[in-house]
Amino acid sequence: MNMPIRLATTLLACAAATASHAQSLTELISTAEKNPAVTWYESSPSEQADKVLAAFTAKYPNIKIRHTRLVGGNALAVRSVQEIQARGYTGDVLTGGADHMWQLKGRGYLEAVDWDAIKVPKAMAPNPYMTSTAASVYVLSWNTKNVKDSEVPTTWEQVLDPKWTGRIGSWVRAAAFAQLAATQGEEKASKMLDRFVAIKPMLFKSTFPLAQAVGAGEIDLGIGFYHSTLPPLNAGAPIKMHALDLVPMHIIYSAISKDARNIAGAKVLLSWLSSEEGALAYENATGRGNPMLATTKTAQFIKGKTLSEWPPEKSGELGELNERYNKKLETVGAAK
Amino acid sequence: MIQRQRFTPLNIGLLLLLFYLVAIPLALLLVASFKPSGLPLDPGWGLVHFRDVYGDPGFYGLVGNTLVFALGCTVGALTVGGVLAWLVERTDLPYKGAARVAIALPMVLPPFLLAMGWALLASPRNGSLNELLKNLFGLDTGPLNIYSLGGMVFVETLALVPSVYLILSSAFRNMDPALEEAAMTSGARWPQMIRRIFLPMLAPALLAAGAYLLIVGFLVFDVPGTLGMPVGLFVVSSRIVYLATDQSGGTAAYGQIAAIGVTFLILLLGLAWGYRKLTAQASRFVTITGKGFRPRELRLGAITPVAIALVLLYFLLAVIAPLGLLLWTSLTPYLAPMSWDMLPKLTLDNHIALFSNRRLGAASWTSIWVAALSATIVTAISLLVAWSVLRSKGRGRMLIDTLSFMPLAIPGTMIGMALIYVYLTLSFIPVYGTAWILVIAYVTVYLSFTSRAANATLIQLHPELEEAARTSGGTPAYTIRRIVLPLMMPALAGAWIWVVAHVMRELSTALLLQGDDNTTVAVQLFSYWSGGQPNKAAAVGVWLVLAMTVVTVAWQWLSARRPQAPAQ
Repeated sequence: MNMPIRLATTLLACAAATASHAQSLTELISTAEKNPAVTWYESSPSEQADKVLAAFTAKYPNIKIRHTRLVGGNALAVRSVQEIQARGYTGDVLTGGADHMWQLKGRGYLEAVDWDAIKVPKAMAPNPYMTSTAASVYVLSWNTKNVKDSEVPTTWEQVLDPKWTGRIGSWVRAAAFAQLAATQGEEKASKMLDRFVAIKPMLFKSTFPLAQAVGAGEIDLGIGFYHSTLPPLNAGAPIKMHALDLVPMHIIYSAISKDARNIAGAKVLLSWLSSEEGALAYENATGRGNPMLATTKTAQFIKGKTLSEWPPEKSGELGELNERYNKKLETVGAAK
Repeated sequence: MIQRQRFTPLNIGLLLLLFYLVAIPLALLLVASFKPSGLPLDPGWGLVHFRDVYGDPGFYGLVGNTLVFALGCTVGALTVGGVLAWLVERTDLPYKGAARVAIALPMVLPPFLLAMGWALLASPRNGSLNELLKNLFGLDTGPLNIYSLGGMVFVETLALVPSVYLILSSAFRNMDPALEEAAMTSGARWPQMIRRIFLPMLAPALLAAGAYLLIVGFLVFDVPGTLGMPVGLFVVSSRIVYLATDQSGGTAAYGQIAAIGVTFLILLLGLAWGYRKLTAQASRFVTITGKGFRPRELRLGAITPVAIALVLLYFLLAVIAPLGLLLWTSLTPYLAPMSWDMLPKLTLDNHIALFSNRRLGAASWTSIWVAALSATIVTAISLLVAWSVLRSKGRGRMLIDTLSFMPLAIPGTMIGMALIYVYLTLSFIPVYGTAWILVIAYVTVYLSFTSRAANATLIQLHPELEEAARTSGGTPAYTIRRIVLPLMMPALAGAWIWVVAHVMRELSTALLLQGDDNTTVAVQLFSYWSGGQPNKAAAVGVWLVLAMTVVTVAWQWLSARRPQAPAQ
């Protein structure tokens, strides 16, 4: 077969496949509209979720959808397990961290999905059970009144400089260092954490109050998340942020539960969240964008940086690392 | 011949109710502690969680910190709350109504907002109070450091004083002043009076309050999480929260939480045993009899200004200062300490946003009816528990007393977990995901406090009043309604208001049981807080305090009605 014919055949095959997928999605939409509301277990505050649902409903006005906020992935996983054990089903769409999805997959509670059939790009779905819909990306934030832009660290090495002793804050969990170990190796990441403990960071239960503390001048620098630094930044606080040379992150995955009440609707929702339109709507509402989609602000923010994250199938190793590193970070009290 | 005690209908009813409310979550807690995954319906049994928790040397470091913290705030709150209760109930302190409202108001302030307020005031780096002191005295560094064990004890003490006040005020109110007057006439000094009169007569109430505070001190997280965690001061509750929310592996480590909870159960059983032993001879504590009891007030005389200053100081530290900061925060666009620079940026946007939020309206209504109903039910049950334990001769009284105290030892997350299982399984009771499951949870959670408060009051009433009613042909229901209820009304009203305030601010159970239409104001407040909008959270806090002021004024009016003994 000569080149033009091969190209024409390929284009025809692609067009046919696209038509078939479109057909498939159309059928799903039609089925979803007849089913009960899609229940979505996710962690965003209700006001933010309302905006995402409004955008989804604008596109699919006849698919009913309900959002239940479950704060933190552990709460989501436990609630799902309890509901499935006691009544046989849980939320239709579940959104959480890799380890939470891996736990549910291990119990056989997730539906295997042909992502290709619902137009979810292959790069976003590491396996048939989950697809990435957003990410929590680590950033360095600083108080612009207390630190000149020219002094702000741009690398982890500069962050660990003793001159920041008592002036820096972080999440009380050492998850950033555990994720750094994915690219830097455990030994190096562990030594970095030792040096971090030595500069006596203030520890915060969540990265939201951490960002507020940076904005208020309580601390000068903060190692937090992109999305949790946005609120004080958008409110006009004297705070800025940027990505360091290495960017640890946690991909947020979404999955469909087995025996979901509205599997068709759940697939439509995930297909939409993985699309540019859905991902941008989600990012605009929650601040958390999908780094796999180049048009999101999150992807643009970390463009050109080295990302550091363990894949979902390594959740067990990551968990053990987190436990060890968290204990190490908690010794910061002794350092003081 | 020894007459065998028999079960009375009341005791059987209470045992069934308490078994349903308390024993089932308790059983699930114990089962969870032996399950490898920590989830009661998962397969397997083992002691792995006990090994993990108690085999970890770091755990004992947490216990050490927690002991200092819990004992510190117990002693602090008992002292401050005791002095305030004495001043308001036993002396001629002026403006008592205002004082009662001032002392009770901090109850409604979510402790993490109280802690946040104090962090903004007394942070060594940029706290407003420290800045003021630095400028006034030309200091290089701020002299106050709220991020310390002392700071944690101080703020938690402020938060716990209203609970102590509510238990002790009733006990003080019902004390016969003839005892103090006799002691004074005999030349007794204050230390002697405290040791020989107050402490023995108030022992049940003090022990009830002390036991409550000690366990709360062990389990509370908001203040240690806000003021201790930043500087690496961890306590047992930090571990519990970590296990529930941040534990790696994909689920909450309920097994380890349950294993920790078992220690609290043992501690609580010990405290309950001690309480029962102390109050075994109930007649020792009787102060209200049928002999024309008329409580009189002690004249403060020259120390009146000092007494007023004490109440004002508490009000300043527990309400005005943090509430002022809260109000300030609610007017700023982002979290910032008080400064002249921020003045031009003050805005009402956060308050306006609240009133245009349809979710907040629904959440407010849910909170109001859930709080009112839970408080009414739990207060009624507590009255019956106290009556059954102290008055009835039926069997099962000890078990009723113990079961009513037990919920205090069960961490809120475990009660939530247990209720999810119970009502998912008992699907013919359609409360899962609704506000009704919150009512059930709160009745269970707050039973410990209200039953202690009711016991501590009823123990002071001589049974001869009720015996007289029965001799005159009154039924038990009539006796409770006409004799016991009016005499206990101030204490019960106090317990009711305490539950209302605590339900309005309760978070951990509400979050765990959150469904489609049972969001409460506290959850909404947390939603703002955790969504990076502490200013809107502060605005909710301000309005919560205002709303509760109205309720506490009504309570004050009720409390002002002195218990009247029946005419002789």
